[in-house]
Amino acid sequence: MSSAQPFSGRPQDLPVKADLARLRVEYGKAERLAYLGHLDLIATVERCIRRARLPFSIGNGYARRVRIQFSSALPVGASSSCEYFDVRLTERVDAREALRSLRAATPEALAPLRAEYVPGRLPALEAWLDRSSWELACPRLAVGAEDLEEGVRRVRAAGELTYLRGEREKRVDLASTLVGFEAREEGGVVRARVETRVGATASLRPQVLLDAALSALGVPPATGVRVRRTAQLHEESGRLVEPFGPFGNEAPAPLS
Amino acid sequence: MAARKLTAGRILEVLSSGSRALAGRDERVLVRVHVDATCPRGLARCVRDALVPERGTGDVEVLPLAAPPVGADAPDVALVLVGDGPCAELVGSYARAGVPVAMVVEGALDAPRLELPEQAAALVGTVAASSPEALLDKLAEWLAASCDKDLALAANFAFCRRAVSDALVARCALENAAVGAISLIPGSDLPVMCVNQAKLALELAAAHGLEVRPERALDLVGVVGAGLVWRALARRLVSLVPGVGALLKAGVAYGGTLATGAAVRLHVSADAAPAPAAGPGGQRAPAARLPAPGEAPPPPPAARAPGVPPAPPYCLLYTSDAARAPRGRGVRHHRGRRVMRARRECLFDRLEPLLARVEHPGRYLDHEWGSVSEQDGPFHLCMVYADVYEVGQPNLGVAILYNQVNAQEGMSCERCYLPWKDMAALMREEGVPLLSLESASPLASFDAVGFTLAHELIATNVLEALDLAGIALTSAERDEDDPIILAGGPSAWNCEPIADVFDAVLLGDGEESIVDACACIRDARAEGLSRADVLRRLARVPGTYVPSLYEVRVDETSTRWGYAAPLPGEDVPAVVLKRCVNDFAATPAVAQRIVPYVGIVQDRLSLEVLRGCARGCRFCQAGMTYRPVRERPAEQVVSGGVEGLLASGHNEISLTSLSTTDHSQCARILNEMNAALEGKGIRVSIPSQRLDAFGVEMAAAVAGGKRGGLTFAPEAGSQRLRDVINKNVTEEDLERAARNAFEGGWRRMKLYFMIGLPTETDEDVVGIARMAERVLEIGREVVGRGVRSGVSVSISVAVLVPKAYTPFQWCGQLAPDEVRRRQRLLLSEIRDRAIRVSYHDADVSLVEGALSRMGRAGFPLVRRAWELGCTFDAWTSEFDVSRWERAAADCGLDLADVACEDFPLTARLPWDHTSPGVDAGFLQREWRRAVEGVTTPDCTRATCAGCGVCPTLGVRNVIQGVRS
Ligand code: SF4
Repeated sequence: MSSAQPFSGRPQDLPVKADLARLRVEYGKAERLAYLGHLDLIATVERCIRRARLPFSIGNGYARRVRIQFSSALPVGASSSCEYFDVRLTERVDAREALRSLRAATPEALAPLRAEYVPGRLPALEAWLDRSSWELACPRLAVGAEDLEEGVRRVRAAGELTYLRGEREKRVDLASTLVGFEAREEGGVVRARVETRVGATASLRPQVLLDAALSALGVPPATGVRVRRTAQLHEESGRLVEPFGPFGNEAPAPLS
Repeated sequence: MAARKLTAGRILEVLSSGSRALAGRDERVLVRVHVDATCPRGLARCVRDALVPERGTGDVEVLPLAAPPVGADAPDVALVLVGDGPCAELVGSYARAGVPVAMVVEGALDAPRLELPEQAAALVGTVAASSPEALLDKLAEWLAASCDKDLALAANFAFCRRAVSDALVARCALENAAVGAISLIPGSDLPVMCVNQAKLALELAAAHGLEVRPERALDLVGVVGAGLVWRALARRLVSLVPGVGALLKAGVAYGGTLATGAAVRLHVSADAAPAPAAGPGGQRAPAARLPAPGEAPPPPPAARAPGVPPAPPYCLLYTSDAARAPRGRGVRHHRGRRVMRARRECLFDRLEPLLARVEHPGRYLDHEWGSVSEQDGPFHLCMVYADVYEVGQPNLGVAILYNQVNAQEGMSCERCYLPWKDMAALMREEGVPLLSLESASPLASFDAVGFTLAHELIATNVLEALDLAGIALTSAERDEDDPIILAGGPSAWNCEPIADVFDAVLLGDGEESIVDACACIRDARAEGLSRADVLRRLARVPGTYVPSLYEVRVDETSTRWGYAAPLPGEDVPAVVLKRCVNDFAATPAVAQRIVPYVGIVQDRLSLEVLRGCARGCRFCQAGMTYRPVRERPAEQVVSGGVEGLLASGHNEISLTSLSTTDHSQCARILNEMNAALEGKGIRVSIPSQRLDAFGVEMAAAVAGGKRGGLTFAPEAGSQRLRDVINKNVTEEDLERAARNAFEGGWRRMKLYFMIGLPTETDEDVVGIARMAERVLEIGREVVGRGVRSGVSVSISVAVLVPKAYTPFQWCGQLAPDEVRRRQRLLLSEIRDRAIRVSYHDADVSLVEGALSRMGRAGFPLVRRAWELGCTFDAWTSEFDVSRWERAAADCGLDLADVACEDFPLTARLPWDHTSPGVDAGFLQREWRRAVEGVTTPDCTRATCAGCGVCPTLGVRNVIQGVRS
C-alpha cells in the first residue's frame, strides 16, 4: 500500500487551511432535473467547476476530489431555486468573474445565480442551513386548501409522523421540524407553503407531510405534486440569517 | 410458449368452438326477396346474381311485392327491392314478426317512412346504393350485422364473406380487448388471446365454407405467432392515440386481433383460392413453427435435404410473406397497420409522470452537458445502444457517429437507450413509445435508426427496443414510411441471425459510412423512391450490406446454415467489404463530448489512441476485423486529451484501444500527459497491460500512488497451448512481469484465461493452476510470506466462443458438460486459499456461441427468446438460460448442438459475404499453424503476415515510431 491515510473521513471534511478562499455559490435545480440524485449532482457540480477552470483546491484524500461542500440533499423529485455549494479556491479570483465562468460551464438546468466569498471558518453548509421553505403545487387534489390545512393541523396534533422510506421506518418529530403551513387555491391547483427546520430526528419531507395530511382526512395520496424548495436559511437564536449573510458574530468557529 | 400455457379447459373450449362453427356453417338459411316490378333493373339483376347459394344449405325465395303475410314459414332474413309500389306494410309485417328486413333502394330518400315500435324498427334496414358494385358490399355488411346465421350466409354467398369475416374479427377483437384491459402483467394475456384467435380462425374458416376440423384448431393456435407481430404493429398504432393506460392496453389487444384476423382471413382465402406462389422465403429455412401440444417438434434444419424448400405449414408463419401478400395480391390494407410515419413531436410530458415510479430516473434525463440540443434536421438519425443509459453512454462508437452526423449540414443525430424493465413495463402500460433523448420524439418518427451491435447478447434487446418503439421487428414487415433501420459495430461480423431485422448493416469504421448512408437515404427519399429502391440504393454505398437483397442457399458447399448470395436480378456485391478510415490522425482525438449527469459504467473521458491490433491472437475477432493498425500521433493524443478534459470536467482519462501499450509512443504519451495534468487531481488509465516488463512500467506510469490490482491475460496455461492461440508470451515474460509488479508495489494480481481452446488437454487446464501458483510464489518471495503481506492472485476463466473471421471460426465450442468437467478439474487443482477462481457462466457462453455461429435461419430463435421474455441477456442478473433453451426447442434447435458444431474447413460459411478484408486462405493457414503449434509474428513488428487486409482494402499500417 502507499502511505497510510492520515484521516478516515470524507475528503471534503478534511481540515483545510482557513486562508483558502471560500466561494459560496447559489444555484437552482430545474424541474427537469428533479429526479437527479444527490451523488450524481455532486459529481456534476465538480465537473462544472473543473470546466469553469476556477483555481479549485484538491483534497488531500486518496480520491483527490475537489474541495466542495453542499447544502442538504433535496428529496428526489423536488426542484429548487436556492441550492448552495462552497468551493475552496487557491486564489481569490473576482467573484463576479467566477460566477460568469461557472455559468458558462454549467448546464442551464443547474444555472448558478449568485457567487460571493464567505468567511472561511463558517460551519459546513449542510448543517448550517437548517431552515427550508417549500412550495407545493397539487393539481387534481381531492380536497380544498382549507381542508388540507385542517389535515395538517391534525397531523401536527399527533406530534409525530412515521413513514416508510424503502424498508426503513422513519420517525419525524413535528414539534421541532414543522414550522409553518399554509395553503391556498388558484385555478383548481392547491398551492401550499411549508416551512421546515432540521431537527434532531429525521428531516421532514414536504411530500410526506402532504400524504400524511391527506390520509388524516381519509383521502388517497396526491399524484402529480410538484415540490420546490424556495429558500434555505440559518436560524440563530431566533434570528434568520441569509446564506450570504450578514453573518452574526456569535457564530462558533469550528473547522469546516 | 403460449400454446403450452393452455389449460385443458381452454383446449376444450377451442374444440367445442370448432364444432359450433361447424354447426353454424351447416345450418339452413332462408333468404326471401320481394321484388317490386318497378324497382331499378340493375339492382335487381345484381341481387339475383349474387344470391345463388353455393351449398345445399342455402335457400332463396323470390316473391312479388304483393305476397301473403308472414306466417310460420318466416325466412331468416328478407330483402325488399323497392320501386314505386307501396311496401311499408310488408316491411312492417316482417319486422313485427322478428325477421330482419332490408329495403334495397337507389337513394336513401327512396325508402318509405315507417311507423314501427322501437324493437321492430331495429330490425329494419335501408341499403341504398346507386350502383350494383356498391350495393353488394353494403348489403353484405347489413346481412352480417343483422342475420344470426352469419356463418351459414357466408358459407353460401361469396359476397358476404368479407363482411362476415370483418364482423367476426371485430367481435373477437372486442373480446380480446376486454381480456387485455383486465390483465396487468404485460404478456400474461397472451394465452387467452390466443384461444380467442384460434376460435376466430375456426369461425373464419367456417364462414368461407371450408371443412373445419377441430383438430386443426390447435394447429391454428400458431396464429399467435403472427398475433405477436401484429400486436407490435398495433402497439405502434395505439401509441399515437392519446388516452389512459388500461384503455390503451385494451386497444393493443384489439388492434392486434384485428390484424391477426386480417392475416388469418387472408390465409383462409388463400386456402380457398389457388395456392399462392412460394415467396422469396421459399429457399430459407422455415421460421419457427409452434408445435401443438403432443406433437413432435419439427425436425431441425439439418435433418432436411439441403436445397429442398420446406413446405410451409402455414403461410402465416412466414411473417414476411403474410405481410407482403396483402399488397402484392391487391387485398385491402390491414386495418392494424400504420402507413404514415409517426409524428415528430416531444413526448417528454408523457414520460415524465413515470419517472417517479422507476429505479434510477436519472437514466431518462437528457440535456446533458455537451449534448446537441438543436436537432433541426431536416434529416433525423437516432443512434440506439440497446442497453440502459449507464452502459450505453460510454460507448465510443456511438459518440463518434453522433458527432459526425451532427456536424453535417441538414442532418441531426440523437441518442436512445433501452429503458430498464420497470420503465419498459410502465411505458407499455401507459402507451408511451420509445423516445429519443434529445428531443423526446418517438423513435418511429426518425428517418433512420442505427443500432450498435456491441456484442452478440444484445440481439434480444434490439428486438425489445424496436417493439417498444412500435417499429416492425423485421425489414420485411416494415411499411413504406417507416424509419430505415441500420446497424453496425463489433459484432456485425456475423449479423446473419438478426439480419432480417435490419434494412442495412454498415461494416467496418462508421465515421464516414454513416454519413454516406444517411445522405443516400435522404436523397433517395427526396426523389420519391419506394422503400425497396431506397434499400437498393443503399446497397451501392461501399461497406453497406442490405440483407433483404440476398437469399440464403443451402447446398453441399455450405454448412446447414447455408450462405448468402445476391437475389437473382439484384445488382449487389457478392461480398461486401468493410469500410476503413486509413488516415486515423485526421479524425478528432476526443469523440466523447457529452458529460452525463448520472454516474455511468465508465465515468471518465475516453480517448482512442490507436485502432486495430496485429498481434494475431487466433481466438480474437477484434484483432482480425479492426486491421490494419493505425496509431494516433503522440502530440495529438496529449493535446486532445488535455483539451478534452478541460471541456468535459472529468477527473479521469482513459487511453483506449485494443492494446494501448503497443502504441509506439506509449511511454512518451504517458509522460507528457502526466506532466500536463500535474496537480489537477486527474488520473490517467490504460485499459489493459501488456504481459511483459514494459507493460508493468506503463502501469506504474499511470498508477500514481495507487496500487490496486494488476491484470494480465496469459489466456492459456501452457506454452504449447499459448503457441496454438498465437499468444506470443513466454513463461519468462510472465514471471518477469509478475516480479516487476510485486516489486513495484502491487499486491493483487488478476490473470485471465480461457478454456475450451482447440487441442486443449487436461494438462493445459491444470497448467492454469500451476501458473497461478507460480505467480503467487513470486509474490511471496518478493513481498513476504505472512498473511499480512496481502499477496493474492485471482484467476478468471472464460469459455472460448469461436467467432467469425478468426482462425478458429471452423471450430465448435466445447460442449457444456465438458466445460463443467474441466472447470471442476481446475478447481480441484487449486489448493492455496490466496488464489481465487471465477468462471464465466458456461450457459451465457453457450448462447453467445450459438448466436455467433447461426445463419439467417437462426432469427426465429432470437425472436422466440425475446417473445419468451429474454432481454438484457448481458446482465447476469437477467440472463435466463431456460428461456433460451425453450426458445431453441420451440424452433427445433438445440443450443449446444448449434454452438458446438464443427464446420468443414472448405465449407462456405454463413458470414462469408460480409468481410473485413481478411483472406479465407490466411485464416485457413493460421488454423493449420495453430494445430501445429507454429506462431505467426505481429506485422507491426515484423514483416507482413499476409492477412490480405491491406491489399484488399488499399490501406496500410500507420505506426508513428518504432514498436518495441
Ligand atoms: S496485410 Fe499484412 S501488414 Fe496488413 S494487416 Fe495484414 S498482416 Fe498486417
